[in-house]
Amino acid sequence: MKFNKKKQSDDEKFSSLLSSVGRETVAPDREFLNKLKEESAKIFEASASNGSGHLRESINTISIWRTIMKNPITKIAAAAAILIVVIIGINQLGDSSSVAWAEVSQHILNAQTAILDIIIGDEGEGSVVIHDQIKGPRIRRTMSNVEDVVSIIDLETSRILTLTVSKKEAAYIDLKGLPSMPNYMDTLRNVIRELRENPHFEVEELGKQEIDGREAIGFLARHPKVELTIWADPETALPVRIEQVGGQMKVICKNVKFDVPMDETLFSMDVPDGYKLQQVELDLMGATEQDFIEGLRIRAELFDGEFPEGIAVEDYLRQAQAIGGKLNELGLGDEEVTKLGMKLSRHLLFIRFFKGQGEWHYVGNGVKLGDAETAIFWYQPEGSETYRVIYGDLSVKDVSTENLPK
Amino acid sequence: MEIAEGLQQGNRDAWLSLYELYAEKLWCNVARLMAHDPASVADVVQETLLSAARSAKNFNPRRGSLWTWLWTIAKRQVALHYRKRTSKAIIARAQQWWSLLDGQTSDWIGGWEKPPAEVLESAELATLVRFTLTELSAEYQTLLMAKYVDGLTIEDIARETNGSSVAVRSKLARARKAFRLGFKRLTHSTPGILEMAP
Repeated sequence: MKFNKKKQSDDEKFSSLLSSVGRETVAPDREFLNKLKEESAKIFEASASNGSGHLRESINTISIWRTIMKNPITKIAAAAAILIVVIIGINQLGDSSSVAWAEVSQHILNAQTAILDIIIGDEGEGSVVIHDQIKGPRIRRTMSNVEDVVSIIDLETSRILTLTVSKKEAAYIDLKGLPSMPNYMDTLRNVIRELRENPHFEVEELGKQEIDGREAIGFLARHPKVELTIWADPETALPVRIEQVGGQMKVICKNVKFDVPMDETLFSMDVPDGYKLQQVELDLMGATEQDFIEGLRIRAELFDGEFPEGIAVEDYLRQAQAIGGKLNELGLGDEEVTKLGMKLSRHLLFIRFFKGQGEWHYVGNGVKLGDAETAIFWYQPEGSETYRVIYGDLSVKDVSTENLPK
Repeated sequence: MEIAEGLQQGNRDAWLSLYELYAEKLWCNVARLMAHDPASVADVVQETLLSAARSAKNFNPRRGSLWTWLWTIAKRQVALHYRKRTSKAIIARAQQWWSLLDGQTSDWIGGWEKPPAEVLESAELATLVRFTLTELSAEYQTLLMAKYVDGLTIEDIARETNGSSVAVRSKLARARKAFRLGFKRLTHSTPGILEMAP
């Protein structure tokens, strides 16, 4: 290979070099850009009128699920799975004699509506933020990683209306088999009432701190099954942030506002004019141990045969983007991707609505699929004296307490 | 200035004007950095424009032109995408290819000789150039691409960036220097690259 001895100026040299990136590039997809134009204009308008909030959160997370969501049915199935697992159930607690606590809790008792952002797991960069507007038994929900999808959840009828705004697509999702989901505000009220009636309930004052950019006073309510931390405005006693750690799941509710007037139409279960309707039924009846194992198998197979780092809901949310990417790489047909999406949903539901005694244990991080010697998960089914232990080859054995993996 | 004011006021038409002006240009520049991967280009363009839509109300024209602001967002998305998706093997292959060109490559970068067409047209060189570009600042990226890929004049670039010709020349010189340094780091080339006067 001979080099031409002709002198090249600096400009010529850079033109030669950089021309290499200008060749054979992907031409603009005008259809895509036209669709994006309308979608981006809506987001611009929403952000411009609503300054802060969840819209800002999504810079690093918007692409989560995009690949999995190229098929609308899969998209709906995947979104529904997340919608379901993050529906909050706050469990029973104790009581307090603190006047300030009483004042704070009274606001929850009296609230008719609520607006809040929910984060599952620890808050950090890349956390998926679920924005809820709540009125009676209905929740209007958006998620930072699926920005153009709005869902209206009716807890009374166990039905979800999902609207994909950019494509003007609507779908009703009937949630067959889900555990009962009480009215959200009633749940909160029940919690407070139980607190008041339980003489063993203790509340610890955490003093004042800056929380989410504002001064707030904190209360930590402890109960054997759950710890609840409420941060409230020191002047008005209105709760602004609620952190709940129960079982093996942490839920953070932030930017909490009660009794904000909201129009009924926001919670309408009617399909808006101009939307194309699809009907989807998710059979979520009793996610079983086998469903859980199948999900473990899929998750390992997607990642070079290695089991995931964690299997809690927040771990799944964090891994969702990578899972979507891997599914996309497989080049599967729509139907197959939908089936995989449903299987992963049921896998997730087993953990979210865990029915065993005590806690589940997962130690599969880094273990290879097929490793028959290494236990990766164990739990004690309800009413059982022994544990179910799942190994790296996905075999299951009944094991007594003394023989559990160390 | 009109668009900038409209954006600050939350005016939908201002956003649509910005979109009309820059969406295709954004696509073309992203495509230059993302090789032949339409899905990735679409992903990065979408992320950039949605992110811009969320923050457009806070656009401050005193900090730079609309295009520079938009490309700053795009650059972040491209870099993120590169780190996540680009196979290290592809870059390693390109680095190996470069090293096999012996001393001639450093002569070219360090001296004045023009390389043969097969080097300039190779996919490996494009990979190395792309990767080097993604590591530069958004401002340097836009300047280098405007001048050496789009073929704009210094005056055109000055108009587009709301700057003076002198300022553009000066920044362009710094951009070339930064590119050479980045390219050298990537290729572990001989010191010739540093010896070139900007």
